Amino acid sequence: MHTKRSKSIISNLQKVNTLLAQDTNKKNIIVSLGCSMTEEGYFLHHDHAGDMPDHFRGGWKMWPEVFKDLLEEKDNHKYELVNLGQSGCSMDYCFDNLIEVWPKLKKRIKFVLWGGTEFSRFDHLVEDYGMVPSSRADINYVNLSSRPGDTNNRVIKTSEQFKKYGSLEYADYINQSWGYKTKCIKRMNDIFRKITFTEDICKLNNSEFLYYPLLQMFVGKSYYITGGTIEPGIKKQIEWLNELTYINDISKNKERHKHYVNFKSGILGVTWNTWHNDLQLRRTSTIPLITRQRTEWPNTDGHPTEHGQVDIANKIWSWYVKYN
Amino acid sequence: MSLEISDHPSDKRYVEQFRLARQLANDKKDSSKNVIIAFGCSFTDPYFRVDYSWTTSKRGPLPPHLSGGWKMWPEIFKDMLEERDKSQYHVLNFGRSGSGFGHGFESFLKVWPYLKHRIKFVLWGGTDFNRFEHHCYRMHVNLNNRRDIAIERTNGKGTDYERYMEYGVIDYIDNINRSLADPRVVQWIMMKRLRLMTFIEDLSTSNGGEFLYYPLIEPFGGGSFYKTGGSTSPSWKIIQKYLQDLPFILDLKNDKKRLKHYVNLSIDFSGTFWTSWSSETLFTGKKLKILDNKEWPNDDGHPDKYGQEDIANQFWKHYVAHEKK
Repeated sequence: MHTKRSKSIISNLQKVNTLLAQDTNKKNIIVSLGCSMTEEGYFLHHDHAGDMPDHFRGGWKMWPEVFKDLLEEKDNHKYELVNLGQSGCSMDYCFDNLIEVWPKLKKRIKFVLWGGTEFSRFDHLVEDYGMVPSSRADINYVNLSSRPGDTNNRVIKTSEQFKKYGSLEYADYINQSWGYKTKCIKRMNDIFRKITFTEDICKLNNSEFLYYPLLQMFVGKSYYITGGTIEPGIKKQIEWLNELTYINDISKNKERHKHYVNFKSGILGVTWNTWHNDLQLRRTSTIPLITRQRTEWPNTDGHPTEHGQVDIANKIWSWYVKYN
Repeated sequence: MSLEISDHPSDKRYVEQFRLARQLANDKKDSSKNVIIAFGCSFTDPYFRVDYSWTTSKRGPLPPHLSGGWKMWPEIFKDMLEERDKSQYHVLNFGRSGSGFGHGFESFLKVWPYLKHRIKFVLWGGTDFNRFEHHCYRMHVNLNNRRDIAIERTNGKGTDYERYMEYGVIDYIDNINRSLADPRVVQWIMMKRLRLMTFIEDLSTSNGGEFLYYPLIEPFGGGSFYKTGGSTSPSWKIIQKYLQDLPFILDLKNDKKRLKHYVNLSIDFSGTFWTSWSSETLFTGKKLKILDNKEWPNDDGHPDKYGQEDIANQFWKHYVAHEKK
């Protein structure tokens, strides 16, 4: 079949078939959704990390697996993990993956865990390929100009891919759009509709649902070089978040807070820090939680290290335990 | 309960349906499972009217009574149900002209969490598989607007060219149309759309409701795209061929009871066949479209008043035939 799905997704979907073949009604499956920060076996690509040694690039347990270990230890029985995370994918892709497995697997799903990624990403209609418009950000061009003649640069490669799939203008239009509140709000509504819908079907199915924004909805980059503008900053995003019906509904119903890791609602409104934002508040930490904090190998990559993965899992775990 | 109601100007006409949905969801006195929700394109749109920007008629614009305003199939289906069950049903029709599966699914996501306890029927009138929603602007994008015939009619641009250009999707559309020559791509799109249907079927039946899907037009009925570097959309015959091996069909073969959800789909020893209402009408020579009006010659292929009745009848007959199975 026509697909550019990661090996990880393909093997996890095969695992679904194996699980279905088992003659059991045990509700012991954890389905996890997300991007590269979630993908099983994610290995930092050369474009992100240059010649970094392999043991710094990946090969460690990702947060869904760490969460599974914590759960198994607490419940003293075995859980099965179906990790549908894929690097570069969009929130819509995450949701589509859930839809694919849900009808067959729902009776056995105990947890749906979702690590939120950028809202600007989209899936090509026919290429089954995650498009990351933010890879056309000015900052990537700045890095490029400091390395003249580097044809291996990420922005060149992604732009070529965009062009090949006819989506360069579309991606640039999308990047222009984030300068407008109405367009950002539309996108936010589109995504929170899917997230809250997932919460609803999980509840009906007696499954647990936990969503944790790992990255900001809009990562705050500028796109002036490609004719765009600048994405809203954190302050603005929080302000707009407070205008969404979906968010106000969660805010009013405290029982629902348990599904949304780090969600805070007070008299001044809703605040919701992502895992990445929280890192800024913990700058004093000596343990490298993201790759660029590795002092032994200077780099600019923002993916979680092995410690970062454990940290994400711990955050989700403590939120779950707090409410249960 | 805060069911989302759009305040976007282009949604204005359709707000009424969402208001009614909110009212039904919040009705404390009545919690009966008697709501029908319907999805689809212009063949389903409760506000459908002939669009004169692309309909040609030798006698000028069609008179109002030939341009729309008749009962659409979800409403007629409701009447049949009420007559048989001797009880009242409410129909919420989210059909919208020009929209594809993405828009229908978006409407479904909006209403389902709030209204599920009241939903008895989910009815879906299938449309073109390659329409999609723009990522950040409220706009349906139709790949067929760049087909050769549309390009010829509009001095080499295609329908909605300016709008599509402004929103950065022309290259994207042409790229997709070019890739439709690859059978794997066509099968991939079919698989994605039918996966969505399987999900909604599952949710509806798990909720004690009924689900019916009927392709009203062919999934790839666009014609040719040579002028923009593409080829032709897969024909009815090719689509039937592709259908045979789709996981969706293989699953149905293993559980034939599920056929009750899919109108006009037949699986037997000679293979799998699924003909849309539009093609069926063409094959059988039935005169059920606006363009069949001889007094007012025109080229609008939408169902007329009788066409709407016929669609409702097809849904109804299929439902009744499978109800007790």
